[in-house]
Amino acid sequence: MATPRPKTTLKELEDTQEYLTSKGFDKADLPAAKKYLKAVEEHGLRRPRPVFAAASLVLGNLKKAKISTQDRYAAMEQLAIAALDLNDPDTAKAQVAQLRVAFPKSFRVGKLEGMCLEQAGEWDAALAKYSELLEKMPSDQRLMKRKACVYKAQGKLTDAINELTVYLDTFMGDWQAWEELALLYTECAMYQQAVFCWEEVLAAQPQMHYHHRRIAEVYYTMGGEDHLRAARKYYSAAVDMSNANDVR
Amino acid sequence: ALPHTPSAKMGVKYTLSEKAYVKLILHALKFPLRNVNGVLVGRVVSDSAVEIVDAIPMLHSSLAVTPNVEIAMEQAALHAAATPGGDYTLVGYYHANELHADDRFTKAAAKIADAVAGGAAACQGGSTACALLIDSAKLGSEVVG
Repeated sequence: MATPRPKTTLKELEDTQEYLTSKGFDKADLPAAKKYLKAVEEHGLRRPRPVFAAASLVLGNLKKAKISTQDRYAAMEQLAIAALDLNDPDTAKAQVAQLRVAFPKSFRVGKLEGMCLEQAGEWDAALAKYSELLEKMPSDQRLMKRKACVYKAQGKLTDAINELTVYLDTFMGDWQAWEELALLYTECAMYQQAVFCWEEVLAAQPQMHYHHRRIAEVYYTMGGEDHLRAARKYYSAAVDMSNANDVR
Repeated sequence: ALPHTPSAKMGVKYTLSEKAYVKLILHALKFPLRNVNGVLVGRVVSDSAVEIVDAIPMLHSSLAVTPNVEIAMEQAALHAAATPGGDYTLVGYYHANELHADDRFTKAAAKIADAVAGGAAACQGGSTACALLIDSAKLGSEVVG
């Protein structure tokens, strides 16, 4: 899925998080918490503790927070996912239940219900849920990717790879899925396939030195003169692009 | 009981210092959603005893690819050799998996452990390097709040 360009910078996000965790939460600084939640959503980061605290703060002070209905539901979703990460299924289920009342036919809520099953380790139930929802909406990208997540969480890397490959056959533009697939292939020591995936990522995001560095690492790992030369080429590109900010 | 499973040569006793243990556990806790690894610094006291005095955390990403591991291990080995107080070398490797209750030692981890063992063998003429896999299930249950 193409994510729109984030409105806040990563630095702003880190600064807001730093402020919130040191003083902002104690002071119940609602505007900062709201801003933080939006920023995390835009950048697609996984920060369970601060998100849980920020979302709880905002949802616990709805009148003072002056939050729009849409933002409120977004905060509830973020709280649910953070709660799952922090091993608090009760909070998550409470949020999901409220969201289900608000959106009775929603597939997005269905995905959250599936994630609650995943957190409980009920893999087959989660897969069944996603398959059932996918029958009604075969093109729901998030659900297809969740199936791969279920397999990855069980350590079944080959199954996860298969799911993602099927997904990418249809949605070739999802560079983040290509990135995930590259990492899975690397874990399985299937370096040639990993390189293919990294090339797709590079095609989508040629300006990010991070990707050039990682494809160089895989080439280096493969060894042999040709691959080392390719690695050197990509490392040079990465250094060129990164203003020497990247320690690696 | 310490929540880790040492896998080592039979008959060799490994003593893990508090500093080393705390560092490697904290490293694993700092990156709960990732695989982490690092090396153990210490010295071979005798044929059947190895003293581990320190743990040097290495990576929390790109663990299945080689360049960063190679550089980190070289630097760690130099650091160990330069530590005052004895002839310290890399005597072991620790690893923590990102998945809960995952007690597999992946191929990549095994290769790195072999490299540490190889380095240790070169220094000591007989490998007594050990590999530690952090038991994430126990880690999760022992950390409260």
